[in-house]
Amino acid sequence: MRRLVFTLAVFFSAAASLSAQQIDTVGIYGERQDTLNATVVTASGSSNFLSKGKEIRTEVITAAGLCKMACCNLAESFENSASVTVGYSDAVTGARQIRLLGQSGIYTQMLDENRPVMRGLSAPWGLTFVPSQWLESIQIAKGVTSVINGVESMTGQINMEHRKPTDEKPFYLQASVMDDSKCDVNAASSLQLDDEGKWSTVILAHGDANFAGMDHNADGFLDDPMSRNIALSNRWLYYDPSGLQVRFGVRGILDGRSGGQLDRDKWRADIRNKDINAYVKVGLPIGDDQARSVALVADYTFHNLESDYGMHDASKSFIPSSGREYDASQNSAFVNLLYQDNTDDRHHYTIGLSNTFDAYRENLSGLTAVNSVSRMNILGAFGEYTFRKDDVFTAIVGLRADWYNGEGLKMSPRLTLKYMPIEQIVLRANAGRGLRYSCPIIDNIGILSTTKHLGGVLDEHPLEDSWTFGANATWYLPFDKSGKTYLSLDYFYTSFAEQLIVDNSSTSISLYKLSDVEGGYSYTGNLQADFSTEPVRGLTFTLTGRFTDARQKRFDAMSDIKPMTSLYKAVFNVQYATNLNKWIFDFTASLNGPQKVWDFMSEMYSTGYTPIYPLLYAQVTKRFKGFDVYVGGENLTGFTQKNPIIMASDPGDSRFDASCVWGPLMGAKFYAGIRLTIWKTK
Amino acid sequence: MKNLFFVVLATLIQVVFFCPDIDCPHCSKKIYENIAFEKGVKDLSVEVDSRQVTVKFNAAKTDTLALGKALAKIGYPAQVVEYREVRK
Repeated sequence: MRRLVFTLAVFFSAAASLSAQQIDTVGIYGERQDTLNATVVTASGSSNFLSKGKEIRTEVITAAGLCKMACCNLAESFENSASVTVGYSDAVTGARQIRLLGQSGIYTQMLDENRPVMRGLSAPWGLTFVPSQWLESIQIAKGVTSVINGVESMTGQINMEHRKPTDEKPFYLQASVMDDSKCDVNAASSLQLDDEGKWSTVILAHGDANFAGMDHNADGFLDDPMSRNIALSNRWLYYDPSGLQVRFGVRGILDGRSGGQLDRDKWRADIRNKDINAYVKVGLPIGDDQARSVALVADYTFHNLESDYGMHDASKSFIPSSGREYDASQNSAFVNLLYQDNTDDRHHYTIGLSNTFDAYRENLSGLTAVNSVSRMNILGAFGEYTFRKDDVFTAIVGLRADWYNGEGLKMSPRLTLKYMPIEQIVLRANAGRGLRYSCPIIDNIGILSTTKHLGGVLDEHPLEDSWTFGANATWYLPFDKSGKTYLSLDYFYTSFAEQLIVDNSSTSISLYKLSDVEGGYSYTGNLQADFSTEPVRGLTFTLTGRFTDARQKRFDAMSDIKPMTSLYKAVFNVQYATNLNKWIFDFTASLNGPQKVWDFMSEMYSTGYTPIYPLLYAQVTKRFKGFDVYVGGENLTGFTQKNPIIMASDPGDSRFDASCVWGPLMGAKFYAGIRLTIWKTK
Repeated sequence: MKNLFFVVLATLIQVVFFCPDIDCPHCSKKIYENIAFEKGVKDLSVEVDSRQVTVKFNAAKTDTLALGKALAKIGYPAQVVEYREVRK
């Protein structure tokens, strides 16, 4: 029975996504595997590794990797990754933003089990809305990926696999507390409701809160906002022996946060988010061999944001003339209908139709006024052909034709190649086009945490257009019996034909289109090397280095080096797990390279660059039958960015700016937590 | 000292169970997460293809019967297909 359910899961995954996007099933502390049918010999487990089987260069963060940090939420899950850099959008709201290939995270498509998520309003805080303990694994694919879920993946794609309804864990609980009073509680319950295994469900619950306000740098502003967040999700799986499989679920989030000055009747950023998501996925195999299939994926999201940034009077009411109030709502729907044919071992193809609809209502008042209602619709048809010659060579050619309202028909081709001349060497290349409607205010939410003049394209949604090319070579070295030693090198280049540019000067922030700049260009080149080895059983070393060259021509800029983008990052991780994983020791060190600052900040940074800084993390886990206890520390060197808020002494000044954040806002933090698992018994 | 003497003399047994209900990687994960923490277990591996669970254990602390019961309790009735002493 379990095999049947599992086989169907494989089928459905294939039906709903490109083979390149198939799921790596990796269990907690389980050994990695690159195919679903791989034999598992459980031993000490890798937490981050490069997938050997995938056609696109993909880094996998396993459940073990998700347990490595305090990992209260998705943003913290990337601390071990050099590919992905996580930073704050500003110094007051706690909004986190990732960077992949030197570009903002808005160019990375986020998927929840192959459904596009975290689009628009939910993007700025979306990383903090996904509790890591809800997840089973994360896959970070670099470069352009499948056309099946649209072409918003311009620099890459991050797919999250949640805990499954079929997991035989009727109860899971995780709770942690940090020394700054932040608490985090997650619970999960996977239930199989009948003996035939037709119905199963997983209930996921999350709550976190940050009760205390800390101001380590004594600038009068909270380092991290006080916050309350609850999230609840329920996911269902129904499968019929005929092959029909239906997955559906709902998720709701309530989030409230308040940052700003310690004196609560002064400058404050108050933010309230509400988010509801519902989805259904139906997969039906066709024919006796079930090698053909049709699948339908439908997803709906409603998000409401109420926020104000500015001075408050004695009764704690917002004073509009002192800042900005931004209220917005979003209704989004996504429908994808696919037909897949795998009847031939060598030739696979997928065709389909899709529609993505986004309706935004935005009301910005106070120092800047924008009142807009916008509707964006993308109606598209796509096809993807895969040629596979054994495990040696794979070519995937994809093409989308999408009608963007207001922009017309756009064709987006994509190509992926993978070649394994010998078992130990994997060569990959991919190239293709990416397109997305920009959301000027939402994509740059940090601009609200300033009192500067905002100008330019605030109420339009220019269609951003990019081309990305990349190649990867991975060499699996015969240094250890486990086959876990590899050296990987990759280079990716992204060039924009159209992009929304943000320019920050001492008293104003302007947003404009790249096409408005005469001779405008915007590109990034990324070189990355990864080395991983397990010299003895249980001891794993990983070393990663990334170099980024990001250039952008802007109006009146003294240099074309893209500001606030780190030039390099290196990450070193060592993990030691005793036999049977009863003790796990983990240590991560990262070196974060300099970032070019905005021209107006040159007075504060004499070299024009931010300093290089290290970050250290450590964690010790003791595992018992059914529960784990862990303690750890983050940012152990205590490095923090000095004066992250410009003109913190006078928030009413027209130069006040909390958006120029490049480093940690909090010093050393320590935490402790437990994980409790009850397994299903007979 | 007493414990050291005991460890030196402990008999280490390797037993291979055949569990017909193992059929996917999740099974191996479940077995590993549970059996690894049974008293006396020193090493463990699970092979999905052959549906075999190999356990090394301290004979002074547990026995084949107890391990078989532990496997059955989590849904994997087991038969012993190999039993041998690996250290005295």
